[in-house]
Amino acid sequence: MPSNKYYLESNFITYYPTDGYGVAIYNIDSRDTTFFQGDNDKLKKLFSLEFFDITTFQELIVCKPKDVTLLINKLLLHKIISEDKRT
Amino acid sequence: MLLDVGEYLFRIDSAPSVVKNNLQLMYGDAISDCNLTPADYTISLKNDSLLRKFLKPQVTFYLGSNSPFKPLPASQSYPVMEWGMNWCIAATDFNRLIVHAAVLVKNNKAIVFPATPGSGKSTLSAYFALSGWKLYSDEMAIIDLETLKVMPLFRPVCLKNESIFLVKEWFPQSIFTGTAKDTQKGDVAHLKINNFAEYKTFSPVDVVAIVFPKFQKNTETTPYKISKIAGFEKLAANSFNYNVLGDAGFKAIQRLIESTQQVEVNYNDLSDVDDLLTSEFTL
Repeated sequence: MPSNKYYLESNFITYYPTDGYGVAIYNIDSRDTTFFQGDNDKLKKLFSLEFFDITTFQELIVCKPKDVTLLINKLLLHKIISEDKRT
Repeated sequence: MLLDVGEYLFRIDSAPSVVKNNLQLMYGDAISDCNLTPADYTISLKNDSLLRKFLKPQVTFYLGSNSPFKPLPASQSYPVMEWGMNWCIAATDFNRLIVHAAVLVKNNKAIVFPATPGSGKSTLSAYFALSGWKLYSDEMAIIDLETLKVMPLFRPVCLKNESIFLVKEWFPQSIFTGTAKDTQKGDVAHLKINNFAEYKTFSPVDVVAIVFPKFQKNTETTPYKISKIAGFEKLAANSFNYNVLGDAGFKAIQRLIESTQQVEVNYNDLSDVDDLLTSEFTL
């Protein structure tokens, strides 16, 4: 099974702005663009994870578990991660 | 009748005389009778129904033999023609990035003003264009995907409601069409800015800033720098063809955002905005 990092690199184009804030992720298949706010170094680390889990999410992006769930749902909705890469 | 708006050629097959007169008033020398030059769009404005010629007359806009809109009252004929021309460009040009925005140029530097709600885009366009800036477009920024330069369009400014009175008061010599009442956008009139000879001296230029203006009564002109990701999101949301362009559109906006500044400006006085932008971007 390919890692999330590989999946992201082969199916999406990412744009990390040089002002260090946020990321835009373009889905080549669906042509959707998804935007995430936040320190983009942390977002880079997040999207280089092999698999997603709530603990790592919370370490990288300090937020409540409820917000982590919302973010994972958004990632799933836009197919930035697939069900099999969610732990 | 062949109409040259710069990047596009429209052949106007038929239109009511009031429309032809207004086209002559707004476009002047950009209109010719040449029947040999191939046009990008062949358009017409017709009254289809015999009954409707006499009872609450209506007109229908056609691109070729297709009509993208429902018929509208004949009293709105000229705005319908202009909106139809906008639609032709926005719906069919997939070779450039097209953003719903005004573009104004000073010292060969372009500022793009996306049409966010409450921006006062057209009033701003009219004020700036009649105060020394070059109007590249009141309605859409046509941006080359490779060079990222913005192209000039030869079109009038579409003003609505109170803006019509304001601009007439500020610039009493300005040239307007008659006002079409009670359109879907309220009362509408078109304003001529350049003549065709002036327009022909305009060339594609680089964009230096993307400015999101917001008119607010009783406020001082205040600029706020916004994050690049917020600028990207707003620009993409205002693009007519971003989704069609696919990754080419994504990459073009990415490069545009990186090569320009993005600012929000709350304003009450357009002359303050002019001063602010001129000093901020050394125009």
